[in-house]
This record gives sequence, C-alpha cells and structure tokens, in this order.
Amino acid sequence: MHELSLMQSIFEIVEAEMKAHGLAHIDLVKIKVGELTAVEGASMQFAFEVLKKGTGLENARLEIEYVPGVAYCAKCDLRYLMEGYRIICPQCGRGGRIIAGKELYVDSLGVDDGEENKNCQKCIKGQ
Amino acid sequence: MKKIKIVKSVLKANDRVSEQNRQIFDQHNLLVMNVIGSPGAGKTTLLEGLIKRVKDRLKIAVIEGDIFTIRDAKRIEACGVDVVQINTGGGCHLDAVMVQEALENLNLNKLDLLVIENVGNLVCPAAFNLGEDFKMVVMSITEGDDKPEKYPRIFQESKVLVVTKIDLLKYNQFDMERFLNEVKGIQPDIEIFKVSSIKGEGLDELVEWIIKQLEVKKSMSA
Repeated sequence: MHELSLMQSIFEIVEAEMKAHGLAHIDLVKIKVGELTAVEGASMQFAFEVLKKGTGLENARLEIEYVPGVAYCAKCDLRYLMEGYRIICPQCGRGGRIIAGKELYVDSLGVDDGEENKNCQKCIKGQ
Repeated sequence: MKKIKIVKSVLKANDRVSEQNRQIFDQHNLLVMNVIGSPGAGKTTLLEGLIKRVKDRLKIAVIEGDIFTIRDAKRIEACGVDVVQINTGGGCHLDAVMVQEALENLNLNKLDLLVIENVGNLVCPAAFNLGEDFKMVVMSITEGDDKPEKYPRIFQESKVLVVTKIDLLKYNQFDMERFLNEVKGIQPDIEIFKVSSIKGEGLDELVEWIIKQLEVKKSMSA
C-alpha cells in the first residue's frame, strides 16, 4: 500500500530533474527496486498510471529493474544469493549481512528523440 | 531514446528527516522504539502493560499513530503518561516528518523513553525509518505461525519481536517452533519475548530488556 506514496516521491524526483534539464515531457522512467524492499511492481505500475495524468509524464512508461537480495558471510568469506528473505549462510548456517537487495532509486529518464524511428525508416527503405 | 542518468534514492527525503530525528533523540539521551504490528496484534494492550510496570522507573511519552481515531491515545493517556496523537488521515504508516512535527509537543529533556506506536500494518511501516533506536515487531499467536515468511521485511528490520496473546496458545493451532524457526531464518539475531499482556506473563523480562537498552545507549554517549 505504500507504493502510492513511494510513487509520489518518484514523481517529485523526476519532475525536479525534468525542470533541471529543461524538459517538458519524458517517455521513460527507469527505477531500480531491491527484492528485499517489499515493493510490489504491479502496485507501482498502477500508482504510476494514476499519478501521471496531466503531467509531463503522461506518455511515459515505467520500467522496473529488480535487484536480487545478496548476503555476505564473513566467517566463510562467501557472497550468496538470498532465497527470498532468508539470510542464513548456505555453508555454515549462520546469519550473514545483506549487501544488495534494499535498493530503491530512480535510475534514469528517457526522452524519445526519434532515433529509433529514423533507423526504422532506413529499414523500410532497405538502406 | 536519449537517456538521462539520475540515481536518486526514492526514500531520501524521509531518510534525511529521520537522520535529523535521530540526532535530536541522541542529544537528549532518549531511547526511541518504533512499535509495528497488524491491527489487533495487541500493540496498545502491550504498551499499557509495559507503561504500568515502568513508569515509576522511567519517564515515558508515547506518540500514537492512527489513521483516524484517538482511541488508543486515550487508553495510553489513562496510564498517566504524555501522549501525542498523529492521525495520518488515510496513510498506512508514519513517516519521519510526521514524527518530527509531533516532537514539538513533547519536552524531550524530561524523557528517558519515547514509544512510537505505528499505524496497524505489518508492511508499509517497515519501509520508513523514523529515527528510532530500534523497531519492535509485535505479533499475536492468533495471526498464525506462517507470517514471518509472508511479511519478512518487518522481521528483518526489527531488533526485537514480541509474541503476544500466548495465554491463548491452548485454543490455537499455533506451532511456536515452526514460527521461531522461520523468524530465525530471516533475522537470526532478533530478541524474542513471549508475552500475555492481559495475564502479565513475560512483561517483566521485556521491561528489563528495554531498560538495559536505555542504559547501553546512555553509557555509549557518556
């Protein structure tokens, strides 16, 4: 349920960046979401669709890249992929330290500058 | 597509304010616990039991988070401690700004322990740091023994787990061993207390643990 307030924060960040770069609209918002943040992708997409109406993000899509949970066991000097939220070291059975999976940030914005379309036209013309 | 790299944390605004709150709490040698659990887990009843046992030894105040009502605040006030109400008006969690505003209504110089009772919810409050010393997750045995892996983040973020309503164990199919195994898989270092707030079982041990946390905090800043 906190996805809506998280998305509001994302809009604040994006709109400030658009202002700083003098952009009236954008076409892509890319965010990175750690798998240990309990942030639900579908709810984020829904909040994005609701909030973008009437803003410079009206035609933009949201791309979510998930970052898997990774922990480190100092005793075994082992980095391991976490199975869900389980933090137990697969080698010694002790608890490790989380080193990835708690990310939650706006990674980049995309503006369609027609480059892809130009390429397409070349394809059509057989160039 | 032209790409503009940003890399800005979504929770940065909250984290900045929570850091300010933490500094305020540290300056006042104040221990702050953020109490999180589902609606009906027994957070307020637990606090009533704790306050009765500890108010002659520590100076306590409570910040009560609730979506709409002041019902819990009235119950805590009846225990004889200062209470500040935050109504989120629909919001499912407290954030650091709300807590900072609430601090204006408290005399922090006079306090040892500040308890923040978060909005009843196992999910969202886990994502928002308030500047507290630790999170306390409160879970009742009537909620079922399968919850840690269903709501793992709060168990991972919490320093202490209070299992409530243990006087009802004989009426429930709650497998304590399974439950604790799941918890330990997610957070091996978590402190665990089993409590019946109504009967009083386990409360004295929890009180001693909280007082110890305050002593440790004071000794570290001394």
